[in-house]
Amino acid sequence: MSRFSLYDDEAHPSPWQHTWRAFKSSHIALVGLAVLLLFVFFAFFAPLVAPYNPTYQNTEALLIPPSWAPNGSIAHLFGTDALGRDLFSRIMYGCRVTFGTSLLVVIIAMLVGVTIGTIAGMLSGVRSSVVNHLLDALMAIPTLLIAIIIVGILGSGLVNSMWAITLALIPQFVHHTRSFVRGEMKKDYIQSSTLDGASNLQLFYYSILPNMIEMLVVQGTLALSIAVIDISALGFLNLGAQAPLPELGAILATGLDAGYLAPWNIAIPGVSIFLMVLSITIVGDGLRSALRKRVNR
Amino acid sequence: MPLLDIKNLTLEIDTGTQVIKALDKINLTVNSGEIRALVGESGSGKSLIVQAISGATPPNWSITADRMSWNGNNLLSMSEQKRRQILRKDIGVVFQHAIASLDPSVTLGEQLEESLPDQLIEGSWFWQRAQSRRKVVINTVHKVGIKDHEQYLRAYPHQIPTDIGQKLMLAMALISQPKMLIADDPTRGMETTTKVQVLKLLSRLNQTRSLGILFVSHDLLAIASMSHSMTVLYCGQTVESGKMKHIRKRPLHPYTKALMDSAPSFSKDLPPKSQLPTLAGTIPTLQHLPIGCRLGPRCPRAQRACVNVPAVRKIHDHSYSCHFPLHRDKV
Amino acid sequence: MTKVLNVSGLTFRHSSKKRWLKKPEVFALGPIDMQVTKGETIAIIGQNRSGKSLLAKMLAGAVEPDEGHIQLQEERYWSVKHRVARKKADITGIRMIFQHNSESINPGITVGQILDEPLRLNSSMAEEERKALIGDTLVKVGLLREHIYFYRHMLSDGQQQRVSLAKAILPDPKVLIADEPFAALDPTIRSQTVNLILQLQKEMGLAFIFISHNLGIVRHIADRVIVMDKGQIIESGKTETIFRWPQHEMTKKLVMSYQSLIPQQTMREPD
Repeated sequence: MSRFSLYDDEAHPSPWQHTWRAFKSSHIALVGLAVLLLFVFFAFFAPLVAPYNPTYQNTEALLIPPSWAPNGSIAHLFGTDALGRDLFSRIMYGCRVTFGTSLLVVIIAMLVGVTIGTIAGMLSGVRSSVVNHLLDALMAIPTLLIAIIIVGILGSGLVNSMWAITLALIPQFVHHTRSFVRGEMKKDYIQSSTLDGASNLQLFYYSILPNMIEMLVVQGTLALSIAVIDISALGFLNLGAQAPLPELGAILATGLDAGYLAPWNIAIPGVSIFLMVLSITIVGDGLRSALRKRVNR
Repeated sequence: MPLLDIKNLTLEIDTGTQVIKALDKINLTVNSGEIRALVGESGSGKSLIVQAISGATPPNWSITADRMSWNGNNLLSMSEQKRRQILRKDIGVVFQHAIASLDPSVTLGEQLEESLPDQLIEGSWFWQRAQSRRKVVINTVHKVGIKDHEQYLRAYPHQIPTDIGQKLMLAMALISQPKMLIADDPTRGMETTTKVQVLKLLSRLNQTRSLGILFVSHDLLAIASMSHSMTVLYCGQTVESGKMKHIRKRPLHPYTKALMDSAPSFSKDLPPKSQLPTLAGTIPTLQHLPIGCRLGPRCPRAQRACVNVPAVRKIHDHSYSCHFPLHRDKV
Repeated sequence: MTKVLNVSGLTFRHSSKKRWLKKPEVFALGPIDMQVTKGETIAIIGQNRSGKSLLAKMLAGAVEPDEGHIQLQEERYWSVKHRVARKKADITGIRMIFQHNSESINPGITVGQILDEPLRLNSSMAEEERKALIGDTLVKVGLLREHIYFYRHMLSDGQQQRVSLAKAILPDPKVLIADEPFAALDPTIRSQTVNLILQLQKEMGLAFIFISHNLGIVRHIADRVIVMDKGQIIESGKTETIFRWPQHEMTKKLVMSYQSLIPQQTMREPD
């Protein structure tokens, strides 16, 4: 006997709410989302929350182990590094730099990529195919490699590495947007909107974009995890963020010097990068399955 | 003894939040050499029945029946293997849109040869077997009425017209010489000339080989032209069942009458461009099945008694379940 | 007996521009001549690949014909010879609905937004006026005003077909063209949709041109029937004339196969 419900009315969720509900049903995805939100919090509020200035060097507190080791103190939660800088604050600022710049990079790449992809998808003809296949060929090269090449041309530094990674991420947005828009243009409801007199721009904004947002979010999270890895890698290779700018990869690189004496200087930044990428991947995965569940109702 | 005998089949689906009775006491029999039509709109459970017979059911389904037997053997208590064997050998299945269910990368000849069960091939050396395979395939293809087998066996699925494709699907289903054929809406979306060819083929097969056919569809014209008997399904309940000509002459259940009315060809004296008699409302979804007789909310003859599921009553071979059937006035 | 649509010499040849790397289409259609009077229902029947869908698309404006002209009531609606380009989306003229499938309605926007689109793009009505018109049209097709908040996945097949119908009749057109509108529907829903279209015709004086394989429905609601084969109109005339005295071979074939399905002739006993 089904549960008795007083009102015959049922809530009809919008496609967004459906996706959220399907996403919620996976506990792992929710945990991932919680960790991700923690990083977002650090990205925005690190200056307000960090206990110390990340570049402040306290010469009396060199290489103090983290608070859970017998020699550690609670004053430095994660210990300090070889120059006496508090690791916890450095990590927070590092998350801010790494995660913040990755977000920025992905947003810019998405805007540019979606624009190019939409134009390519709506027009047909040989010219657009050629451009697209060139960009598709670029997708075969790992983004880190492309970024290193571009940094080699432009010179090292955080801003240059950001540009490099942005350029490396654009092709995949172009590719996915183009194939999506192309598929949509063939559908009956787009044809009927065209008959109603919609211009291409109106078609895109009113008819195609609502359906595309889900795909963009999924591609965006994928690109975000790639961006985090690449920025940290460039930072580690000293091609990206330069000292003393706290950036997780750079912190990891400086920690290598005193690696045997103070392993926490390597482990903790490494674990942060790992958690960041893991949470982004889990959330992206959860979104993808939630979307698939919604479509296959 | 009937080939397929199903009595009081109930299928419950556990969706986590509620248990839905998707099929509620279905009765269905197919005798040897009989063409039985299973008529129902979407949501009636036609495809669920086919799935229940084949046994490929997800774990949250629970099937109970008073009797569900094939040729006397109880399907419910059979082992997986035996069931699969029966499906492979004795029952053939044809689906809608034949071409979509074929492998697009393999030629048709190869696919037909692949589907041959080993028992029917003679010869002990592999070249003998290959030859005999080919021979059996060509024979079957001729039997379904395709004369130019060379051209079509070499073609790929996307290159052949729909009617040939459907006939080839029939050939694939018939190749293991089954006793019964389940045709799941094989003429859906077809134009009339093609439809007539496929239907003629089916009735010819039925007559020459005594092949029982379970024809699942809601195309009343197709069904009325060739079926011997009919079972009408609405939302998982059997509403009427009996010989085709009896039901056509005198439908007893309001839903059957509504179905008949939906095909204007059946009513002789309908003025052109007049409103067709219809049932109000839409088919309820699985989540909102009405209690009792499921046609209740839509039925023009419904009264208080219809909150209880009506019992099955029989007049000769014609069974119906309705509290206020059409041959009796509303009390 | 006002003539509402006058088509003459409509032709479509294979794609005239041979684009680099693109095979030219070889289908040739026409020349097509037909007249439609107000409130008339015309059915286009024929075998697959006979050009019915292409003709419908040309009449609706989705495909550019190569030659010929279409005259809607008094004005020259579209003409190649006289270089009258179709008024960009003259939506009060000819509207089209497609066969119901998963792509006929946009799944990502609400019914209200779907119906708002033709008005937003083509008329200068204020928002409240638009909303009122949309609500009225929904009621006209048998849905509720609250349905403007619904998404496609919340509606049944019949309801989705009604939404397409509402979108088509929203600007009060003179001609409605439908490409197999009843094909994917269940029998009882089909009857409801047929009744709805008949009722709308009476109310709005709509001319209805539809393509169908279901000759039973054709015989019931069509005033005239056009038979097509290989891109040409091979026969046309009043419904009963075509069904009782078909002249052309192809028409005979279609009508015979339809007759063979009508149960009077073929009742057999099981053996």
